[in-house]
Amino acid sequence: MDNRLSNDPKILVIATLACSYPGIDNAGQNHLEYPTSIFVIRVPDPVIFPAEFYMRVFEMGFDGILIASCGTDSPYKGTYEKLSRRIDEVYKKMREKGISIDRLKLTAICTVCAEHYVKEVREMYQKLKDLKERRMTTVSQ
Amino acid sequence: MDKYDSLVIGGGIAGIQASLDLAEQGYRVLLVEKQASIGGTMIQLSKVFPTLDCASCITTPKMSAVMSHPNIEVKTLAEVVQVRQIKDHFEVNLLQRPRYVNIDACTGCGDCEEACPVIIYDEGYNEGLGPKKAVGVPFATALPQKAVLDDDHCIFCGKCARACPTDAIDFSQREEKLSVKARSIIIATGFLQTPTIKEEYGGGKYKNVITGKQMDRILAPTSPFGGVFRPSDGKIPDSIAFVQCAGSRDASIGVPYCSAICCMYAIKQATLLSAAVPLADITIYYMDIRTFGKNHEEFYQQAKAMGVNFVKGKVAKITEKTNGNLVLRVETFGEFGQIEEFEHDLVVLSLGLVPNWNPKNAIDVDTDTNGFIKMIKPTTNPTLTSLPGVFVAGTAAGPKDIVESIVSGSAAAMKVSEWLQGNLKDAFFSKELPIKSIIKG
Repeated sequence: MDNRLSNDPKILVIATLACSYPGIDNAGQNHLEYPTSIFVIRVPDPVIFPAEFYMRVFEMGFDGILIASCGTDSPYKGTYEKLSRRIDEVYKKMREKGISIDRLKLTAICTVCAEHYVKEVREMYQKLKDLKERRMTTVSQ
Repeated sequence: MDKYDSLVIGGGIAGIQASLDLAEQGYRVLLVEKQASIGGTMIQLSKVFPTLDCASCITTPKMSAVMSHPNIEVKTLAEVVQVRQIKDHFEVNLLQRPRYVNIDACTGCGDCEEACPVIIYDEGYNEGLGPKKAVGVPFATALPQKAVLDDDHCIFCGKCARACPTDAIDFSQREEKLSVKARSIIIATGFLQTPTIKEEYGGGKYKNVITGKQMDRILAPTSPFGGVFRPSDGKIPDSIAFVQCAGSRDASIGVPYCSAICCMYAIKQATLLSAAVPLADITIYYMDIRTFGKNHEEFYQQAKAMGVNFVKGKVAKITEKTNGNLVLRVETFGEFGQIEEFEHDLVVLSLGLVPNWNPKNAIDVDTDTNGFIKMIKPTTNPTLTSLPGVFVAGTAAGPKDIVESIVSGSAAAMKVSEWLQGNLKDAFFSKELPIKSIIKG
């Protein structure tokens, strides 16, 4: 069966054109293994998404969102500060709705940070899996 | 005819820095690059010395900044053919080579690359070590992220055109001649590595004798091999030799000058190798170690302390054994000087720098005896050339490391901005004063 349809936690990775997408590409080229239920989208900068976008992603059934930004190296000036403020806003909304804040993470991935990226997604995957299992057991009880 | 305040020839790190600095001041810049992607040599490198920062991570933000800047227009696959000076501006004829891909329609998805049946050596980004297809985005961090079709190797099967979701492949593109107006010009055409023509070092025939740039590709995180292996049989090398001054300080190949960076990049690669293949013996055969920059000497001492073996001597000849190993015949400069032979698995030639572009037919600027752009005031105004309004940045003027290239790019941008405001007219025509008289006032 396609792994993507299974019960594995689905993670959306928002990658930037300039830094993290080539870095994630590099992870594949180096044959580094990571879970298959990870979806990568490529954007100029994650700051283009409003706070509502993240909430909608959760509503659509994604278990986690990893924002692989350029960090302070972003080619667009001042976007990283804006983005971190935006994410604060999202965290606030998530708390209001009772969504665990472990499900959203902001990181910086460079063009050659293949191993770092794999570590990040694996960690997040594991965390979400534990979270999901815990939820399942509480529901069944 | 499009008008620009400045034309920057060459999209390497010096050209990128100069364009950015000018654009930030509000000037309109045209950046012309011969290759399909900007980034130049720096984007190919593994790490930069002496800080061992990741080269790709430093270059890509600058590249993206250039691509997205409203005041900068970038033309890739374009060359400057002729420059004519008319009153206060230059009329520049450009040759736009075909990409065979509609740059506006291409999304850089890579479907054409998957469909293409032609596999060739990647002579550009991977220095001939890795494979690539005849069509595709040049490399992962290439900017613009657009596919390019190699018409020398394409078999015109049309598979890429059928695979393309946006119908961007366009076989009907032809070379185009463009002309633009520019009020000033910055030459930042950079360098080429000295060709491996030396017969005594194999003349480029031995598979396990690689160039400095190839070693950098092997060490890079985006390495074509995914680790340190030697090209002939994929063995992890046990002993690696670096041959210094392999393509410089040698009048017999027409490169009598010191290339300034080879000592440092060999030491950098040796340092990285001792981490990547900890069991390998690394030997550097050198005439002199020239570490004159900030923290360079400390970097050299650190490499020595890490166990890199430095042997003062000149490699006279390299011969290949049947198992691919190489025998180096070396005159060591010991107490008496003697001839010894050493065997190594892999040999890296620390090749020097030669100029990349001969401006002779295109633009009326003088070159020095070695072919680099002549600086008319090398001590007091090192970005000025013999043609007023034309400036030079980076290694086009002579061997430089990355830091110096960036500094000279910024300096050229500053001088262009002075020139555009009409404040620099005298500097081109007045004679350079000896330094002593400047100090006296």
